[in-house]
Amino acid sequence: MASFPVKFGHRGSVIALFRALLYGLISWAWRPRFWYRQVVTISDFVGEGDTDQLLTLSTLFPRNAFPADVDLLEGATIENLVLPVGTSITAVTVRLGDAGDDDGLLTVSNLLGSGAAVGDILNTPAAAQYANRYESAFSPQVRLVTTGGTLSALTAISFEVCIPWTPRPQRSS
Amino acid sequence: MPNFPINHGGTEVGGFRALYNAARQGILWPWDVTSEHVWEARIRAADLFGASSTQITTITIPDVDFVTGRITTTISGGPLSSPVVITSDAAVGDTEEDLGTQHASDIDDLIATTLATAVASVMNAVSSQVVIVFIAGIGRMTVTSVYTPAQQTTVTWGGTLVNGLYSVRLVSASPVADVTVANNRVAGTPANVNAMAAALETAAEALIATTLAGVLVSADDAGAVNTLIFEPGVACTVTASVTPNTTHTFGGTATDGAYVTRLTHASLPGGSLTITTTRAAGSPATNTDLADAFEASVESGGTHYPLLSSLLSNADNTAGANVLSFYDGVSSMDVTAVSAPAPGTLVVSDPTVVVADATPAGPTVTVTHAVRLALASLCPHGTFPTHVMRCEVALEVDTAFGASRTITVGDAAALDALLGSTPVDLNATGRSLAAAACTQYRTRYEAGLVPLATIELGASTTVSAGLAYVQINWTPHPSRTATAA
Repeated sequence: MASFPVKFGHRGSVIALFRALLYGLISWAWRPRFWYRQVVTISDFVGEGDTDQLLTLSTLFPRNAFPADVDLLEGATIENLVLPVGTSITAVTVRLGDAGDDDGLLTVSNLLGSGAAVGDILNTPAAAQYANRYESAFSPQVRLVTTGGTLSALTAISFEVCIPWTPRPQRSS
Repeated sequence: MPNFPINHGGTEVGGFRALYNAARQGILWPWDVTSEHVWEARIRAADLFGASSTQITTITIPDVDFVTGRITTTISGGPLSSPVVITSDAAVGDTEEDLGTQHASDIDDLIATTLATAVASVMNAVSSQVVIVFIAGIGRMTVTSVYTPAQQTTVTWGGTLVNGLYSVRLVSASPVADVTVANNRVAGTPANVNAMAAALETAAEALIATTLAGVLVSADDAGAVNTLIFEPGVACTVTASVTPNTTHTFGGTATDGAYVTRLTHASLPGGSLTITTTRAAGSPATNTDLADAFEASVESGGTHYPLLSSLLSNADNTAGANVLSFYDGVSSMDVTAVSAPAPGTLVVSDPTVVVADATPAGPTVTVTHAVRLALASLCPHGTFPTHVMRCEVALEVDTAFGASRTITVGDAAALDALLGSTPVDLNATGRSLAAAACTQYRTRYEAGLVPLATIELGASTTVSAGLAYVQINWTPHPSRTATAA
């Protein structure tokens, strides 16, 4: 049985706190900014024989699905961890979005090519779906486009997708 | 393997473990790290011209009511031991764009010498504007800019024109000039006052290349009026003289009695001479006859008026009108018709020339000031953290800064990117979130934001009070390669 208000400093107050949370007496007192994070490397996918490939992260990484029924927050980024390498490939661009808008969170940005460098944190605040909003089942997708060769020529690439989100109060959950 | 989302209430021990594992593996960050932090800079009135401030002064040259003239800008204060004066002249055909470019060029030239310790740069990006960026932290600089239209003087020819000596004298101290432009009338030429004006224009403008160089720009005529336009900055004294020769007319119905004329001149005994032309018993019969009698009397030399003969050349009569012509060099001769028996009349008609100032009011040059503040210098925690997600920007005004003072916040690339796409009023206390319309208002990754505030002060640099806080929320970014704050 939970008691409320919780009296901290007393014996058992931590248990009291969790019971209060459990029974909903403290509803959504804690709503921090979470980060959905996923590193993608060349070993995570098989490059296609053309120059344009869409990676669905929940398919590639089923154990790290983007949480459902959350508020997606402004601030999605992709961090360039390893410059793409591939015979005759001169440029690689990346977009971030979902099936409805493949560059909704990050418009076309260079992973390899003009200005690209390891450590770049790619960010498009003006992207169409960048704003805070509720997402019942957001499924992030990364679109890679190469120049000078097909994706199957890639031998190295690594980047991290970071999408901030926060829980949303739900009576039924 | 983390259990995520965390089921806090399943078992207390399992909840903690799941939380720990999730944090350790980067699925979430502890809330005290991932929640938003506030970076706050305090702006006081005293900071506006302090070490973290860059004063920006804009001189705007009006694009209406443009007239020939000179803009004199004086810059003083800060490290300048004495005021620096910059002038730009608007010549005929110039525009405000020319003036803006000239002014900027002049200031730019001076930066290498006199202004090197005060001015960082000068820009002329907008044609009629000169933007002076002073060196950061040098203190309050005073800038005045005054448009002085070039002197314009009109010379108007009038009265009853007679032959004789006419002239216009121009005296200027800088450049030094003392030139008398002759505009004499001989044998009926120029024929009338309009022609006199045309003749003066020709005579005066012929001297612009020589004795009036740097003084006179033009002497255009319009009807009987000449408009003398001088070079910008020249102060010229203009005087005109007309011949003492005059027309003396017997008119109305010739009537018996005394027609009395007085000539006043220093050379005459007692200073004046009274000449009486008498008509008695109908003689002389007509006005022409009266004029003949007058002519005969005054031209008789030593017979009637011995002292007048040295002054008067002739008094030829034409249909009742005597033209009194004095010898060259005679000046200040005043001829007055004293009386005539009614209904007869006696009229003296002089040629005239009137000199009048016609300098236009001219436009007003506007000088406005702004200060750009490096907010990191005004934040107790120093520079804005690097490699973070920058969130909302807010302004809180605790003490008003005075009417028409506004603020924008951004960085060097866009000074109003974070707050104040429409500049926020600093004279209204309270909290403002006027950032939503700004180009960079959304949460975004910032590798190294250098926040700048720009405060528009208007025409005055005096700010007696003011206290405001610029608050920039931020939260860490889970960067792997960058050094997160």
